[in-house]
Amino acid sequence: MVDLLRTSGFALAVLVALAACGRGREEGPRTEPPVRESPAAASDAETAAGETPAPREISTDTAHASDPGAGTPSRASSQRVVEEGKGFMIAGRTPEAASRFETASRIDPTNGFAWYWLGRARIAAGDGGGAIGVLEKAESLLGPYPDWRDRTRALLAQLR
Amino acid sequence: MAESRNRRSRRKFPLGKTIAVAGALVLAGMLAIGVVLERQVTAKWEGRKWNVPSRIYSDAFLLHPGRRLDARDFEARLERLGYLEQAGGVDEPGEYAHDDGRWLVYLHAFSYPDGSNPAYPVRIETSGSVIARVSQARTGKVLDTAALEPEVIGVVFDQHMEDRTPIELAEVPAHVVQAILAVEDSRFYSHPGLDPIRIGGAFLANVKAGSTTQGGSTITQQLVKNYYLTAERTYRRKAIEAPMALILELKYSKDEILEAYLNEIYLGQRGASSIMGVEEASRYYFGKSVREIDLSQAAMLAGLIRDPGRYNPHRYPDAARQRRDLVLRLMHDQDRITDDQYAYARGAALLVRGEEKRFNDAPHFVDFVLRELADRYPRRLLQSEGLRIFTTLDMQYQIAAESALIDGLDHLEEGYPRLAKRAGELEGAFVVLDPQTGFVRAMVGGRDYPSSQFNRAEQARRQPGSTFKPFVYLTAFLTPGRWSPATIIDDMPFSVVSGGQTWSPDNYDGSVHGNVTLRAALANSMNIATSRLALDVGLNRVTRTAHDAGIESTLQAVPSLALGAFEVTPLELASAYSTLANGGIRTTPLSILAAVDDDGNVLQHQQVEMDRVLPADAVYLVNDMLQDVFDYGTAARARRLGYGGSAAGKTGTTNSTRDAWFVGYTTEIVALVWVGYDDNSAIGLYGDSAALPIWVEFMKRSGYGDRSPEFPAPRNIVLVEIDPATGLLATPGCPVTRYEAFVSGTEPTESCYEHGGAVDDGWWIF
Repeated sequence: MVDLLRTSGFALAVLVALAACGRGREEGPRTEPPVRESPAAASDAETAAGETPAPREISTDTAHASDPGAGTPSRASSQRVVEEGKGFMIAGRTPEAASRFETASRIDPTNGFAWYWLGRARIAAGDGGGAIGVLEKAESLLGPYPDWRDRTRALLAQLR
Repeated sequence: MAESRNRRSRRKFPLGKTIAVAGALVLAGMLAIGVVLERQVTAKWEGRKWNVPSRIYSDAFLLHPGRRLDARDFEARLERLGYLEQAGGVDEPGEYAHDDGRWLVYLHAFSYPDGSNPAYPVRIETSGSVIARVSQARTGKVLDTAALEPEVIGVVFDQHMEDRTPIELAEVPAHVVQAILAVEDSRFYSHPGLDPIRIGGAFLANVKAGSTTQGGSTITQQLVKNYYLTAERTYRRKAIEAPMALILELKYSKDEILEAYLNEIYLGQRGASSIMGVEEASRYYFGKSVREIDLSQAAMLAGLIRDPGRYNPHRYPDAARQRRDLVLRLMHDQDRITDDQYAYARGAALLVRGEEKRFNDAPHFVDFVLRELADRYPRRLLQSEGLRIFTTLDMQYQIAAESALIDGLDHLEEGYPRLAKRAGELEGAFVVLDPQTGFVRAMVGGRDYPSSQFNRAEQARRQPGSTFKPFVYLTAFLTPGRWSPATIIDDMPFSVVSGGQTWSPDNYDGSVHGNVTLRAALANSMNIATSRLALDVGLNRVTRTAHDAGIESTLQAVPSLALGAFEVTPLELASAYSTLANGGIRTTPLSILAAVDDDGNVLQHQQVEMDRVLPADAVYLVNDMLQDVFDYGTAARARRLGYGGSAAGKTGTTNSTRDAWFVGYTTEIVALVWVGYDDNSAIGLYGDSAALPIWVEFMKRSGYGDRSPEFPAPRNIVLVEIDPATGLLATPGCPVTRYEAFVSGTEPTESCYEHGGAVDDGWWIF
């Protein structure tokens, strides 16, 4: 019995040691090609390594997952210029509004709202054709804002 | 008899009658001359008095929180615009002060296409090298954005090469007018065009001196001489100068004459062009409008009229100062200024901007713009109507691109003397685009514009070589279920029959690599693997992808297409890469933003145009792969040259090394370099050794540096840990793994079988 326990204990120790070696090798230094760190990828990788993912339908949602400009000083400036432009839109001064939205998009090209409102200004000016491209740009940037992304898609659907 | 003959003779030619007839004839002649002169005077005066050259401007420099502001670069911009640094604060437009992260800039007034900005002082506070706050210096009001006005990058002259900015008399400050009247014609408002007192004084002075030291010309006479007559000294010219001056005074008011004079007078030389009129002269010497100059500067300007070369403040500051002081003394003596004004102005330093060494820093770009304008505006109109053309050029990028290219080519010739020992010069081209807007930010069409105006950036048609390859991979990813960066492809020799001929691609170094992932094949620019991929995905599909991205040249669906065998221009190649940088949205390259006439009416406004032409996910995969090019691919040399950013990029070299390319890009900038000979001779160098160093140098000099904005991942991109040797899911046994990007649903489902097999859980292996 004691021998059995010893043997079992030894076997368990070997198992633990082997497992530890396996983990160590997994996390050890890599050579070529370099591994790029990706916090978001960890869970995906674990899932991929642990179980076989079921085949999925390829998404057509190509809007960005995150908003890299959110909270930056450029975004704050850009957004204030957008608000100014919206004021011109309300006043029916479309050319001035479009000019402000263009400036806003130049201050922060990742500001989807600037492109969205530029598209709206072009529609208001009767330039639906010119609006499509900038609304497509807006759509790609407004992924983190589903409500606005959907509004953009609705406009695009009308224009197409 | 004799008496009667005399009487008859007197009767026949009576003296009085003779005199009367002669007088009448003279009078009639004078009248006729007067009529002719009057017609000449009127004909030239009415309508447009001068051909006003059109000006081409760079883009304005926006100042807003979050913008990177390199102190050295910003100072260079200010100096090019004629701003003068002041030690304490700023009092007038055109001055700036800089103190440890804070800038105080008194902006010039400037008329933009969408409105005019008045002159105002702005405070810019930086944190590190990023703008933290922009505010109105006087009121402290926080501003969302301010604009440093555009720079003049080109002027469209007629054959006279006169640079002039017309200004109305009412806009010219009184002290400028007073200074000019004091020194040039103190009795202007009281004489009829000729000033006998002045003529007499000049005559006596000249007799006393024994030569011509003083002129007796009034402002009206000077105007006649400069505006109506040629500069040659002839009796005819002298004879008609006075009557024309009298006619001018009879026909037009004193203010009209003075206004014409202020715009007509020659005040110096900027290279080959003449500086005409007080407004243009003020901009040239002081970097600001004549509306903004002070008394001391007005006196200096007035002093220049007599001899702009001799009193040039850049070259002869002492003479210019003495002349200014003389003008101030005359103003004081004539009670045009007070004692205090006189004392203050005399004590003022001679503040002039640095002499402009060059006028046109972007000659190829200006030509490019003029070609675009030619369809809408005839050259003659551009030479005469004073249009203002606003463009997308960023002067800092332009200067950096030009200097990086020229220095880079020089450096290559020093390092490889055989390159210089040829009849034709080693040439290059540089294009910088903003992928978000399509703005052409810089364009260099060759290393020496005076010797060759051929714009290689826009007009040269060259094979792109390996810089074309990304469009092959992009085409593959348009079918994501079949292809991914982890897909294995065979880099072993093969042959294909095309057009009746056998075609076999080789790798540039003759090596073969066997099975490799698409990622490795692209990063290392493998010809065999890429050719095989192009044939697998379909050559017609590759051409369609390249055209969608922005290649406009004809491409044929033959195997060598994959290796960039069909000629393109550097600009269109940069444009196609711009579509990659913009996540699949193609922007039309844009060089002209607006054209405005001299009354401020907007004749043309070009808006940003874009179109989604490729799916964001497929483009993302290519961008992600091309970032490896810097880390372990063909552009790894960039790291050794000091580039630390994480851009995407691709080298390119064509057959027999006739062309060397590098295109590097982030989401904010696409910069393309081409190096080669015009006659297609081999340069014997690859893209990484000939073009890449120039790109790296541009990134350093432009101030863009190592900025590395991430390529934003579409929502349907997932990262999965794989074994790069097999492209399958990593197992704990795999010696090397990496996270690979996939379009969701296309990631591998099988685990690596080479390093521990499908059973990947080490706990249970016994």
